[in-house]
This record gives sequence, structure tokens and C-alpha cells, in this order.
Amino acid sequence: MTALTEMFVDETSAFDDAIRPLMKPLLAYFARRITPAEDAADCLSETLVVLWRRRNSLPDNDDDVRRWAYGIAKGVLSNMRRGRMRHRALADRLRAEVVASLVPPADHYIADALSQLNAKDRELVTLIVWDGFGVAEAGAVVGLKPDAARSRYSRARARLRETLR
Amino acid sequence: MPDDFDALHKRMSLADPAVYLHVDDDTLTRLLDESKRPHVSVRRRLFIGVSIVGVFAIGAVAAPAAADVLRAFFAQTGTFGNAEMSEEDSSEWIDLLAPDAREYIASVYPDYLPVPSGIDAQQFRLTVADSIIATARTTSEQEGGGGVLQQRTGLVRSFEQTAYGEWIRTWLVADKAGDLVARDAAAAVMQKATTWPAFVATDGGGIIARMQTFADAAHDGDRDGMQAAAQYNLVDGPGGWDGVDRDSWITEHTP
Repeated sequence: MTALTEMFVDETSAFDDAIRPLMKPLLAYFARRITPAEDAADCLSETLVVLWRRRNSLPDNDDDVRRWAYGIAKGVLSNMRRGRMRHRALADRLRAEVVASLVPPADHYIADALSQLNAKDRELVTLIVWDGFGVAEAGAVVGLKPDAARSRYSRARARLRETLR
Repeated sequence: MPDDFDALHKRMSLADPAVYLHVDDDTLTRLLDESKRPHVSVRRRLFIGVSIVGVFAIGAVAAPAAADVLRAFFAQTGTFGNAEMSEEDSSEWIDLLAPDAREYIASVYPDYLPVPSGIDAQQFRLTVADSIIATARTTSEQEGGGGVLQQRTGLVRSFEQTAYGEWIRTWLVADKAGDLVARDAAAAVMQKATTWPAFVATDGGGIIARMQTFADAAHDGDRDGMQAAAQYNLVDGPGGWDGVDRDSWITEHTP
């Protein structure tokens, strides 16, 4: 193995180790936010391509990797919503699996209540409750400082409780 | 009230649409591996397309209107979207790096789309086409040299988006000049824009609703709202966004 090949293998291995655990959570992240949900497969595929392209910026620790990856995922999601996403055939199989395993939410009141929040609050709440982020971490993903995130989350929660009462 | 919060949290967790999401690990591994490869398959498709459609290419520039019915351009792949999959619709996939991509893109400019007075329609077509191609080239370079495809509907949407931005600019300029006739005309186009077909076809959720909010702002003479529209739609340069962040306006006023 040449030194160059060895370097590539090391780089690939570090990338895989960091990103592989995030793939299912990222797929779920997209599936929760896109209609139709099977487009989550294309979003994940696009995200992986972008992450690989930007691998030189791969952070050192897991928490930072997660924030970094979700930040990129947010951009991919935005592109998808603006119709700028390119379809990738390699996501076909994954798309089929997403279709097979997604079920309509049993509690429509939650979806209705969430839809009454403004976009940033809704994203903050779902990142915390569904995607498992801490409040400050979720705030960083949506571009809020920790104090602002805590305050908005508290207000959003109160509003949800009120709506669901 | 921790009890309330726990109950809310539990109820929301159960309503997670992805709660039962299950995918095969092998599929994910394959996807991860594929993400590191240059996308050569697109380029291979281009070569096949060229061999089939080449005979039409000479007449293509002279007869761009034929694009709808003939595979008249190298840029046309002959592959159409499958509306049952993730594509925008069933329109054709276009190779944006083809030698005649500029002519093809200019040919799909929709007749229903008005541009503000003072903008040359032909120059507008070519400017938008050049911008699309420049973006495609950058994307290709970033991804290791592969081809770049986009559906025809996406190209039409780019025309709609660019024209929409220019109508926002027109509104802002007219408002500043106190020209209410021009301002109202721009507002009317912004209202009509909520029905432009490519915007509607590619709305993955909330885009038309947001455009309606901006159309209402235009109708109501809400300059702050129109500056938010300029920010959101990247209307930079003279007469465009003033650089003041109105993200909070957008968040508060749009669904």
C-alpha cells in the first residue's frame, strides 16, 4: 500500500466511523419533515455526498460531528423544499424501505398543534423531542444562542400545552 | 409543571412519524460507499443520449420552439421523471453541461411569464440560462467531474424565480419613488405568481403560502414585508434587499 493510498484509507475510515451512526437518525430527520417522506432517501444520499465533499471540515468529537452533519442536512432539506434537489438512483432501494416502514402518526392533534407554531419554534421542538438534541444544541442547529433557544422552547412548549388542552 | 411536560413529551414522542422507521444496514452501507464515488453514471447516460439525438442537433439552434415535441438538443436526455418517485414531475431530465444547454434552457422560457419593463426579455433568458449553467459547472467540479441533470420543470422554475425577484425589486423601487401605479402593477404580478405552474409543481410545502404572504405585503404597501421578501428571495443589488435581517418578520408572518 502506498503512503497516498494509506492516507485515503485512513480518511475514509475516519469518515465512515463518524458518519455511519448518524445515518439512521438523519434519515428519520428527513422523513419527519418531508412530504412525501420517501424523498428522505434522496436527502440522505445528497447529505452524504456533501458531507464527504466537506470531509476536511469533519470535527473531532462526536457532538460536534452531529451538529455539523445536521447543519448540512438542514441545507439539503431547504434545497429539497425549493425543488433544487437532484434525484439519485442509488437511493431507490432506501426509498422503498422508508415507504415500507413509515406509518401515519396516530395522534393528529400533535401534528395540528405543531403546525400552529412558527417554523423556527416548530423546528426547535422537534429537534429536541424527536431528534434527541439538547435545547442548546438544537438552538445551534437552527441558529439560536442557548438563552434564546431555552426561552423560545419554553414558550413553544407552553403554547403546545395550551393548544392541546 | 414537570408532570405536564412529561405527558406532552411522551405524547409527542408517540406521534413521531419516524418512530417505526427501519432500514437495512446493508442499504445504508452501500449508500455510504456510493457517496464517495464520482457520479459517472450520469455522464454515461449523456454519451448514449448524444449518439441517439445527434441528427437533430444542427437544426436545434434555428428552431428552439421544437424543444417540446422533439429531442432537438444534445441537452435532452430522453429520460423523463417518474412522478411516483421523488422527481418533481414527469418532465424530461436535462443535461446542464451539454454543449447546447444554453440554447435549450432559453427555449423553455414560458410565455406566461412577464418581466418588468426595462428588462430585455431575450437578454433575461440568456442571463438566467448562463446562471444555471455556471451553477451546474460548479456543482460538477465539487463532485469530482460528474454530469449534472435537472428536470425541465426545475429550469422553468428558475425563470419564474428570477422574474419573481425582479418584480419584488420593481415594487421596492416604485414604492421608494412614490410611483403607486408601478407599485400596484408589481403587486398584481406577485399575486399572480402564486399560480405560476413551476412554483406550484415544485412546492414541497409552504412555498406558495409564503409567496401569498409576500403578495399580501405587496398589496398592503408593507415595505418591511417586501424587504423580507427581497431577503428571502435573494434580491440583492440596487433597489433590492437593504441588508437588514428580517428573518424574524418571515418567521412571524409566514406559515
